[in-house]
Amino acid sequence: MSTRLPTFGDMKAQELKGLLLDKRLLGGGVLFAALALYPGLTMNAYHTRLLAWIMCFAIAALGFNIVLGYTGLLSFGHAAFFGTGMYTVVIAMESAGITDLIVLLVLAMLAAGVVGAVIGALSVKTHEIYFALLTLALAQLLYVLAARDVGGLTRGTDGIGLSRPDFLGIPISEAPAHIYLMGFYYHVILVCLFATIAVLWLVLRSPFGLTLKMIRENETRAEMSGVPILRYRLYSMVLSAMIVGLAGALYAVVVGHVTPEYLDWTMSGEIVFMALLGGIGTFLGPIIGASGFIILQEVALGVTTYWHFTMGLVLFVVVLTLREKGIWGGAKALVDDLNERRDDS
Amino acid sequence: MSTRETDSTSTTQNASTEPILRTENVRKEFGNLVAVDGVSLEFYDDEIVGIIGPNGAGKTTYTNLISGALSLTDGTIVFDGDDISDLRKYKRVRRGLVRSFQIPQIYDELTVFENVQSSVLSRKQENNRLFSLTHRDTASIEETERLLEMFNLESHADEHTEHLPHGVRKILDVAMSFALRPKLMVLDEPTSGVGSREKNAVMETITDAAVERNIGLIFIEHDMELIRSYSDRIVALHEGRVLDDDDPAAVMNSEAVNQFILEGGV
Repeated sequence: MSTRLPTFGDMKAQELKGLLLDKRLLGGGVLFAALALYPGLTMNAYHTRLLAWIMCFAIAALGFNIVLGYTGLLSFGHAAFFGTGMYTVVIAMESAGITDLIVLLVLAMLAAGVVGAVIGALSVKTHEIYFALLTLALAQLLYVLAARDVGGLTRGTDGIGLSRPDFLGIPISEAPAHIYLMGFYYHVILVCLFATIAVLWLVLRSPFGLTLKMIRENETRAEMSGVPILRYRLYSMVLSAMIVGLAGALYAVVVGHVTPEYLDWTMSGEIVFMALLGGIGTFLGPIIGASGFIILQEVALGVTTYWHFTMGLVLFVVVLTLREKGIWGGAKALVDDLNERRDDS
Repeated sequence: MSTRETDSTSTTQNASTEPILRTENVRKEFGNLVAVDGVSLEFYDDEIVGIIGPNGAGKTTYTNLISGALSLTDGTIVFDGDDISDLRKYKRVRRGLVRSFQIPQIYDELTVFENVQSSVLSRKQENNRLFSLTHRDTASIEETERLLEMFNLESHADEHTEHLPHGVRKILDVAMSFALRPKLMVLDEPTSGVGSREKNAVMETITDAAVERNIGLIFIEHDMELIRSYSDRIVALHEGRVLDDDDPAAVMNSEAVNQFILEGGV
């Protein structure tokens, strides 16, 4: 049997049935339906906005985790990709007059991918702290360019406000803001999130994903197995950048205003924070981390002006007690533990 | 080693053919220190060559030059008919020049099965495949299963490697190297850290697999007993130069070797 081709072809009907009944897939379907219906059922604009926000950052954290969780590189420059995604959308709309959402999203991903390739090419030779600092410095360079309005595209620290994109020729941007978000844009983000999950789930279980794990686990061995490790680190940076760029592009429309702050290192720090909070050793951890981060931020902001302190404290406790498993990995371990005890008794 | 002795006719036959690896006047300097000082040797794909020498003789440096971990100061390395002196490490591996390490280099957070399967997929240069699932890739799975069987690792297949006993880790390291289908394997102390009772078992496993697959072996070893039992030929290095290069009995009886290596303690 030839298995060089993707293996969906020879999947048996029974396997397909098993796949459909798979707990995780079923859970995902239920969650998707619930999220899709939420705005229409509750008509709660505040919650819808918060969920849209969470989903954007969930995509960013998932993309970031390719580099940290799978390839084992700690990047402190992912704001560059997020910000590039945002600026691409706003500049393409303002300067080039492109209004179609699909085109804008694709452009943003490509632009972020190019930035990822450049930053990656300059940094993948380094390791650990040097990699972190180099990515940080290169991203900061973009921040300075945007803040100083070099090239006259970004309007400096004032930033640029953006209008709402259309979709497949439908002038949906003419709808009122809350209808645009609750009836349309929220669902675009939702679909993008689930598409990202599906694609990454597949890619990270492919020979490519295994190759990234080989590099994370033991570079010497990976190279001595004939893997050009620098090239694969670069691939992982580009893939990661494209997904984070998509997140930035989606987010730009939600906030409606793009400033250099999104290119700043604190933004990179927040993405790292989310991944660590949810658990970098797990596939879904980054989503939990992004949700936790944003909900925590909302709650803390409402209660105290010292919200940074609250966030820091939570991350401190989570990392100290759960380490790379994060909240999600920790919860999984707890459930396994409880099941074991139940089986024992 | 009995298998080798019965094969002696083919050895002599092949000795006249092209060597799989040839180093010509290979030299490595670290600042003022000359670690390898003009070593010219030939290796064939049907022999097991032991490299001996006291600490600092340049054994590990020499193997690092062969694998590409270190760059040459001077000299040429010819592998399988091609000059590979300036070739990157991973490209040498892809041509069939594979080395293993003194300390097993394996992937701790992957299972034994994934460790071997990753090597199989890398050899087939399928690292680029994005949209297929490794746990459904029948071709690499079957090959991995055969390798696990060959090295008696089936019972450990689903274990994560970090908790494996040292001897098993060594064997896994070798199995991963075999998955690359090398033409020549360079082993840096294949039995270091392995209990003395296990040493022979490890060597048997390696040499049997090499004979079965027609793979040339070069191994560095401090244990003279192992060197004597498993080598077809011994190369003695001393201060970066070749002191002797002959069949085991001759090398072991050589006056120079006795003076510099055997008596000096290794």
